[in-house]
Amino acid sequence: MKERFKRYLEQQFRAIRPTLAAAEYREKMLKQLMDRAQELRIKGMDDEDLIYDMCIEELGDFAATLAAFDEQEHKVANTKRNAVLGAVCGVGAALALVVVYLIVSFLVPNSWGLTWLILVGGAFAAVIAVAVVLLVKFVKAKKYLLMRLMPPVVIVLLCVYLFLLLQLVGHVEMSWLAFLAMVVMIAAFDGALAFITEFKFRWVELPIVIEIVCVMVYVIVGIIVPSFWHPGWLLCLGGVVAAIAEAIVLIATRNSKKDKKEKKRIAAKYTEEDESYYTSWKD
Amino acid sequence: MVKTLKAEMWDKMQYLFRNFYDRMVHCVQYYDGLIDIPTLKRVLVFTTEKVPVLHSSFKSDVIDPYWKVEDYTVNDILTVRDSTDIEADVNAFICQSIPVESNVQYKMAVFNKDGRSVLCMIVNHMCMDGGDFKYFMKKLAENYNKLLDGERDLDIKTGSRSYDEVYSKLTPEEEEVARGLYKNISQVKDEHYFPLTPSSPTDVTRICRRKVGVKLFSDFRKIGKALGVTVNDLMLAFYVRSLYEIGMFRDDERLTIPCMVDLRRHIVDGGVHTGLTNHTGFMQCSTERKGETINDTLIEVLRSVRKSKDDPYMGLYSLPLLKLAYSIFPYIISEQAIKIGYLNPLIGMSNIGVMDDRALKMGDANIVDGFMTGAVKYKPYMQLALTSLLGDITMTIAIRGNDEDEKIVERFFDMIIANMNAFVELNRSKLDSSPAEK
Repeated sequence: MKERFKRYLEQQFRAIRPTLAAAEYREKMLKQLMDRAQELRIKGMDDEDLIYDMCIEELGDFAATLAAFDEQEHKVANTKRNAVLGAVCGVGAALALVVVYLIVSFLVPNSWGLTWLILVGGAFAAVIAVAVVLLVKFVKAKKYLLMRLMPPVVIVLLCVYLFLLLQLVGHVEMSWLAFLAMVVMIAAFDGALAFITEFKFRWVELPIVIEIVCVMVYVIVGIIVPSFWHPGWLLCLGGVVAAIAEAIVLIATRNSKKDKKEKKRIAAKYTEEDESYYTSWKD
Repeated sequence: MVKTLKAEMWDKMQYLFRNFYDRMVHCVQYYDGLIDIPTLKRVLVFTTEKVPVLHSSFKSDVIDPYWKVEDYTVNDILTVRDSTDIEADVNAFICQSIPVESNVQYKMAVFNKDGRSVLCMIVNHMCMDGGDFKYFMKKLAENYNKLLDGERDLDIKTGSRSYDEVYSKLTPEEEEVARGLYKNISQVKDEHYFPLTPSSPTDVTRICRRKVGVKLFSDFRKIGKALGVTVNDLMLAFYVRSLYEIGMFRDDERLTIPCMVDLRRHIVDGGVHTGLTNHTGFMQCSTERKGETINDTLIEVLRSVRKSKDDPYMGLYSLPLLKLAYSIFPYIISEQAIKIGYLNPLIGMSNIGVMDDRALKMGDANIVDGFMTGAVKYKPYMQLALTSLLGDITMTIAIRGNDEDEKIVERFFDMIIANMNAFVELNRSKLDSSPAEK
C-alpha cells in the first residue's frame, strides 16, 4: 500500500516546483494517506484496492490542491520579500521625517514649538496608510463590516490634525468645531458605505444618520449664528421626518412592484388564453 | 480534532418528535440465498465513511444542536448470526432503538438459516426518511454487486442536507411564494384516535404487519386502473373506512388523516444529488362521511386528495414557519415554541412505495420478501405504513403496546382486507372488463 501511495504522490508532485517545502508536504501527504488507510482497516475495511481508492478519492482534486500549494508557497515568498521591503521603506521614511524635522527646526528660528507637528503628521499619515491598505483588503475579502471601521479612523486623524494646524499654526477661533464636523463626516460616510455595500439594515441606519447629521449641523450653525437656535431646532426633527418619509416610500415602492408583477401575471395569463387554450386538453 | 456537522432543520424536527415516537425507520429484506458478509462489511464502511452523519452522535446544545463525528468500527453497525428462529431474531432486532448519543446512527443485522439470509436495518429518522432509506438500500445492493463483480467505483449521494433543497426545482417566482407559506397545517383539529388500550408499563415495541396477498392486490389495482384511481387513493379509502369501523365513529363524522408526501418531487432530479436526509411533508385527507359503500368512501377520499394534488405547493406549507422559529430563537426556546404550535396527528398514513426487487438483489441472492416501516408510535398516536414488493403490499403498524393492542391492530388489518375484498366484489365488472395487465 505504501509503495502505491508513494508512486501516486511521486507522479502528482512532478507537476509542481521541486522545493524543500514541497518535499516536506509530500512526506506529510504520505503519512496522512497511510494513517487514513490504517483507520479504514480498523473500521473493518479489508479490501486493499478499495482502501486505496477511497484514500485517493478523499484527496479530491489533488492536482488543484498541489497547484494551490505551489501558488501559496510562491505567494509566501513574495509576501516575505514585500514585508522586508515595506519595513525598510517605513524605517527610511521615518528617518527622513526626523531629518526633515531637525533641519526645519534648526533652520527656522523659534520653530521648535511647532515643528513637532511634522512628526505627528508623519505618524498620522502612516496610520492612515495602514487603514487604507486594510480597507482595500477588507473590500476584496467582502468583509464590509470590518471595512467600515477604517474610514472613521482616517476621518478622526485628519480632523485632529486639521484642528492642530488651525489652532497652533493659523490661530483660528473656534477651530474645535472640526471635532463637531468630524461626527457629521463619520456618520455621513458610514451611511453612504452602508448603501454602497448593500448593508442589510441600511434603511434602518439611514434615518439614524440623518438625525445625527441634522443635530450636529444644528449645533454647528447655532454656535456660528446664535439667532439660529430658534426656530433652527426644527432641524432636529429631520431624522424623524426622514424615517416617516422612508417608510412611505418603501411601502409605496413595494406595492408598486407587487402591482406590476400582478399586472404582468394577469397579462401573461390572458395572452396564453388563445384559441388553443379552448381546444387543447391535457389527456 | 473534533469534527462537527450542522444539525439541519429536519434533524431538529425529528429530534422533537422523540416525544411521539422512537425515531427509528425499519427495513427487513428476506433473500433466497446467503449474503457475503466480507463484501457487505466493505460496502458498509464505504457508505458510512461517505455519509458522516451516520457515524455521528447528536449533541442537543441549548443554543444550536449539532452532530459530532465519532469513531466506529463496522462491528458497531453490523451483527451477523446463524439463527434458529428467524422471525424472533428479526423482531428482536427491529424493535430496538438507537440512542442519539450512539457513535453510529444505523444498525444492520444479517440472520442466516438454511442457506438463506435476512437483512434487517434500523436507522435514526433524524438521518433520513423513507424516501432516502429506499435509496440507501438500493445503493447498498448496487455497491455490493459492484464489489462482487470486481468493480471499485462505489458511490452514494453526499450533497446538501438542508431543508431548502425542496425549493430547487421551483421557478424564482414559485420559490418566493413557497418561502412565504407560513400557514400551520398541523393545526387541523381532528380528535379521532385509534382505539388502543391506555398506556401501561407493560407496553413494548411491536411492529405488526400483514400482507394483502398478490391476488387481492392485483385485483384492486386493476379495478383502480380502470377507474383512474391510484393505489395510494385506494389504500387511503380502505384505511379511512376501516378507521370508521374500528373507531365506531358516526357515519356522518368528518375524519381527517394526514398522508405523508415525499417532497423530493419539488427537488431537481428527484433529490438524487442532495444528501441523505428527511424531505417529508404531509397532505390532509378529509372525508365528510363514511359513505354507504367502499366506493362512496373512495369518492370522499378523491374529493379531498384532488385539492392537494392540484396544489403546486403540496407539502411545502409550514416549512418557512419552522425555519423562522429555529432561526430567531435559541434551540431550547424554538423547540418549546414549536411544541406549542405543532399538533402531532393522532392517526396517519405513509405509503413508502415500491421496493424494487431487481435493484435489491444481492449477488445471486434474490429478494423474496420484505418491508419498510416508519417509527414506532407512542400511544395514542398510530400510523399505517405501506410498502409493495413483488406484486404484494405489506401493511405495518408500529406501536408501543400490549397483547390486547396487537389484537386490536390485527382486527384492524382484517377490516382493511375485508374492505379491499368488498371493493373488489362491488367492482368485479371492472375487473372482468379491464385489459389484462402487461
